[in-house]
Amino acid sequence: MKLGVTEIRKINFALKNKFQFEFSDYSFYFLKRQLESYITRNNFRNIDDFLRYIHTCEQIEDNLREELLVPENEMFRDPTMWEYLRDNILVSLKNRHNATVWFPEASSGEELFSFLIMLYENDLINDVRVLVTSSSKFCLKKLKTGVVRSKGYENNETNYKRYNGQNDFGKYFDFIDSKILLHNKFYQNVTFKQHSVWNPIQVNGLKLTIFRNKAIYYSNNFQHKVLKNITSNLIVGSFLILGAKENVRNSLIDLDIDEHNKFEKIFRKVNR
Amino acid sequence: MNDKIIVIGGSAGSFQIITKILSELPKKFPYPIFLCLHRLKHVRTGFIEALTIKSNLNVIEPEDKVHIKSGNIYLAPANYHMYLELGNIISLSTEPAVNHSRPAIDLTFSSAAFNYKTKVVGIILSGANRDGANGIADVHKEGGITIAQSLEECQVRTMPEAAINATEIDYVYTSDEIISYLLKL
Repeated sequence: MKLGVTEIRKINFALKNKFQFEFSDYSFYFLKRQLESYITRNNFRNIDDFLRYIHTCEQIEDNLREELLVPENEMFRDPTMWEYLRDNILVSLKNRHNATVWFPEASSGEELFSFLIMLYENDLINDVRVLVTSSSKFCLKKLKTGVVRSKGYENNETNYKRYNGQNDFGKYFDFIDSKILLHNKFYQNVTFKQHSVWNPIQVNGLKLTIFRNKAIYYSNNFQHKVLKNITSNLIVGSFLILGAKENVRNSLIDLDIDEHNKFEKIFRKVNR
Repeated sequence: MNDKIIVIGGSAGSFQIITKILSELPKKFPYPIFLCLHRLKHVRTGFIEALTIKSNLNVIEPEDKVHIKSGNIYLAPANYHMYLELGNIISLSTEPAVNHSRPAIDLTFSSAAFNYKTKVVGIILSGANRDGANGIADVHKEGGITIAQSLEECQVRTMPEAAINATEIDYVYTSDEIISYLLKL
């Protein structure tokens, strides 16, 4: 089913009335595609059918939040960023008690899994606390199991080699039937929490936030609001990493951050 | 905003045609051009430099949410889908590959069709899969102009052939004819 502007506005209105949440804070065309996909997969005959469902189904908000969380698709995406992180930033986490690394709006886990492997290889797995938050309780439930999507496994391994990973990539996983699971030894210092990144949160000892390619699905204003929430938790000198094509050039002053590595989109909290 | 926007999709065998088109367009070409070309996802530099050498116009790999300007050429970045959004904005996306491709031509074309309707000129060049066929069908449905590269000229004909089979294509042109058409817009 193809949705037009009017239909999407009707859906937004119905969702806002029920949940007090503005789905219109998402990029319009992205929202259109995700809603079309959800409506088609769930065999709604028409828009009225779907609107009735919104009124009656209590799970619809969670379902849509999951739908709108795009899977991270690949481990060690942009291998040069991970190399830079390993060689230049990881050192700032050493010998720091209670150093925390935050993954807001985690979805399928590839970013988290890559980071945990990197921590393990650098003997930091027991020293760094990792906070994983997501607005979707379904995503959190999956993340806790450590299941790696098998579809992209070969690509993950290729990226790991490009990152100059030194080990046998497969040794980090258990292959059980058709499932691939990250070893649970990596999860010792990981905390999971349901939280929507547009709501305030206090994260203590935050040294690094990895929030790559999450805000690109939001409207301009909403992006700024979300990034403001995130950077307010960073302490001076700590890092924020965004996606390679995210643009915050005009907000650096307001967010109290400076460009640390322009190409890899790594930013550092400053005291202005 | 612009009277026209040009969206061009290509894959295997399209690079030479793209550089030929870019080299023929004048500095003051008045419309924005969006290039969605299949490319190696892990190679983030080099491609735009190769296109810039041949182009009289400004070639940009857009960041997310940049405003569209006439006369710029926007190249879909490696490993991102590129959408045209309401409000003359470009959005990027890391959603799963479509037609085994990210960037996917279908997504760029369909978003252009949805937001710009009759203003769109969609051009499908040489390529080895069916990406772009659904997108150019959307351009046609919304009243835009559809062009496919001539099958005789294509290095790989699968992509323009799929476009021709998917919808009513307004013009099947050689690269010289495509250039001539764009210069007359």
